Amino acid sequence: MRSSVKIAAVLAFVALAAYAPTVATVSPGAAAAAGPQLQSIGPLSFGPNGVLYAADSLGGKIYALDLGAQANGGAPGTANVANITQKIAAMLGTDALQVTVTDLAVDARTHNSFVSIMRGQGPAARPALLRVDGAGKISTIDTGSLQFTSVDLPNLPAAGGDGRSNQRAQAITQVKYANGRVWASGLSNEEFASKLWSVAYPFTKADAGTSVEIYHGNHQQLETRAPMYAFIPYTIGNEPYVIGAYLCTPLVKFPVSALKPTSGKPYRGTTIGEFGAGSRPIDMILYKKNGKEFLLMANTTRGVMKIPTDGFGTATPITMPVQTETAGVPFEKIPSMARVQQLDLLDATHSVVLAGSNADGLDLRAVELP
Amino acid sequence: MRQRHGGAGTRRRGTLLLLVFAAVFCGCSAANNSSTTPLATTLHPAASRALPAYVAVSGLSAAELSGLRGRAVTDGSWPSLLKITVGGGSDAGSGLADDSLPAVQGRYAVTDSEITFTPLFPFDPGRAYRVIFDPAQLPRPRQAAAVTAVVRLPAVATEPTAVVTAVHPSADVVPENLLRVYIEFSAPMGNGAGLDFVKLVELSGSGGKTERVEPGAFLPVEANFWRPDHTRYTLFFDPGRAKEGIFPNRQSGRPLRAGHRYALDIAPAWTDANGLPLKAGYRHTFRAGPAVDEAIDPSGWTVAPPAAGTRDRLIVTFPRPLDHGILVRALGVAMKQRSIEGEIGLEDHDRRWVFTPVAPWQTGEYNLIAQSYLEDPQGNQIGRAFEAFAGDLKNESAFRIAFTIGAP
Repeated sequence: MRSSVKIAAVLAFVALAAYAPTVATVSPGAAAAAGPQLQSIGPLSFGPNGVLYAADSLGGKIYALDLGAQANGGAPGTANVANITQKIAAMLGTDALQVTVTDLAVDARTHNSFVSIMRGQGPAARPALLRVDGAGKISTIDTGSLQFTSVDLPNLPAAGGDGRSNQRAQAITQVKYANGRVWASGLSNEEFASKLWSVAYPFTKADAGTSVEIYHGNHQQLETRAPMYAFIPYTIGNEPYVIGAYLCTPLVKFPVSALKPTSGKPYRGTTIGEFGAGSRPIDMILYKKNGKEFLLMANTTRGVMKIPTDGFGTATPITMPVQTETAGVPFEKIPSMARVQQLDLLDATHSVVLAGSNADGLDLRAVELP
Repeated sequence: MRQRHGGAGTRRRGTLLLLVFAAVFCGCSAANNSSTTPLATTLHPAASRALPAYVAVSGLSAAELSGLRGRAVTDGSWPSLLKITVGGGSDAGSGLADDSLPAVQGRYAVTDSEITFTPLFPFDPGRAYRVIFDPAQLPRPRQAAAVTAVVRLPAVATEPTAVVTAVHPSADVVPENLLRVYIEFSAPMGNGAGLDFVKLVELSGSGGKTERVEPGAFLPVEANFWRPDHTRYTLFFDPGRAKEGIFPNRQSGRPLRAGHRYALDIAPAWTDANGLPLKAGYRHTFRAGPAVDEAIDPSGWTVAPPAAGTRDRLIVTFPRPLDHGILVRALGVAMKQRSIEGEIGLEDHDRRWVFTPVAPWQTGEYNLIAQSYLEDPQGNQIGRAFEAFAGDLKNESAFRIAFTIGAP
């Protein structure tokens, strides 16, 4: 038999299916007697009114959790806790090697810190959420009793086959709320993409979110496709932006108004900084000190960097290969903040960090903003 | 979490008592207590996923149990009466026997004969837990010493069994701009990231006996790159070095260089889901060839349709290997826009995709559907090379290749 091979026209329904998220499921809190069925937890981020956004990469959802009474009752603030991973492990009936911290987030109402972890190894690992208060008391949060809503993360459609062979997994790297939307970045264990996804909050069945592919230029004519790792909503001249940090470690800005999936082409962000190779961003926070605003960014091997934000609006875009390891907006390394693995803003004068190593355990510490 | 109550419908304790792993009896007949039944702490193994292992204290009088029945399941005073901690003194084996560590969190309940404690997370197999019951903390205190026991569930496995079963791409020669490698295991692994256990070794000299470890070859990310069942790990080469022209590439070059021979060494210290190391390390050797930096072009594929009325394999052959992981979900078959159910296989080092339908082929027009996210192991997609020129960026789309199944 002779095969007839030709490239057929792209069918619109397939194209739409390929990059539109699946239909959002909204689980009204009133009907949520069983509570959220978390398969994994983290990253975390607090939004207005104490809503805790929690990504469940394994379950393919983002939850908006209402902590209810479990947000309260602790001493205000966050006290230092040495080797918190060992203490959490003991509370959960195991040792520190079985505890993988996935994120740290501060409730701006109480300044208590919330730590998300996975307990156990491999497919049997289970999520847990803990609160640390101003007296250093650690409490487990009974997530199963929380009121919540949730939305499905977009997943790529399978073209066919038996479905059982789908071995893709996604890892959400950051979740943030800004301007009425929840934003999420992530990467996959298979395709190498550069998607930033967002969905209106409160979640509605009508809005399944949008996904935009963002390239950044730093390479003459060549465009770089890479997963965004950390980001933070930011305002430049009254216009909402997202400041994103990628691996090895370009800092890229793009206006929220441009992030439309219908534009016909992947969106191209503007690279305004290069902070060096061999590292990945972990977390970013914004703060003010002595009347000046700064972005504080934690990285894996290159430590914590303090970046004045006053040049974000006017920085010259990096469009040519840089001849040095770093370029663009100026930054200052903060050597006193060593081995930071998680970072959030505690209050007007302090950050809170989880610092240390998996082998030696992590310390929870409040650190004065540099 | 389920709360335990006494009476009909609760777990069959008679059966479970056959499976007691630790019980310490307190023969103290309290001078001022009418009870003569010795106190005992027992670890009951899990009866099912819904009924996890729990600790029970027996030997309490009906009056003592009644006095506790009104106490809330998570009341803060419970641990002073019955406290479970990780580790067990000299018997710990876990390195944890520190009294300063907090108690294991869980729920307390009072049945018609026992106090029970069910941990928030199931007890780990093989781990030692210390149980302390202090009868002086009963609502009507007994003047007796605390009962202490070290209990543990049997370990699930004690000997290493997991091994590496495959590395993809599996061909002897791979492009020097390789981006992605899959490492497959015979059993679920732990959470560990491959970076700690995988080395790229350049082999040179006579017989490849000279070995040089290539530093910084892989993406410095500890993200969860496991597939959901933890039997496959995705290892990314550092794209900053694989891409041409950007600083890490100009500084250090690509990790692989065409014409050179390499080994991917996987250390036996990589632990499985039971915390045990691999049974053995693994070495995958290969040679680097010229870079493949062009988009995937489906017009170069050949489709060999089978005969109608059979369940023979549809065979699609590519001019170069495509991605082992993505191929099984990004390619499919449809007829009249309906997806055809079938089984997918990959052959010839991922140069050949074979599809066996569940139902026999019908005469007519079919489409091979390729989703636009299909990649080769270098990250090139259909119509879009990994390193694409600005003007070449296109909106994402799926592709169709029509083929005809003729009458037999």
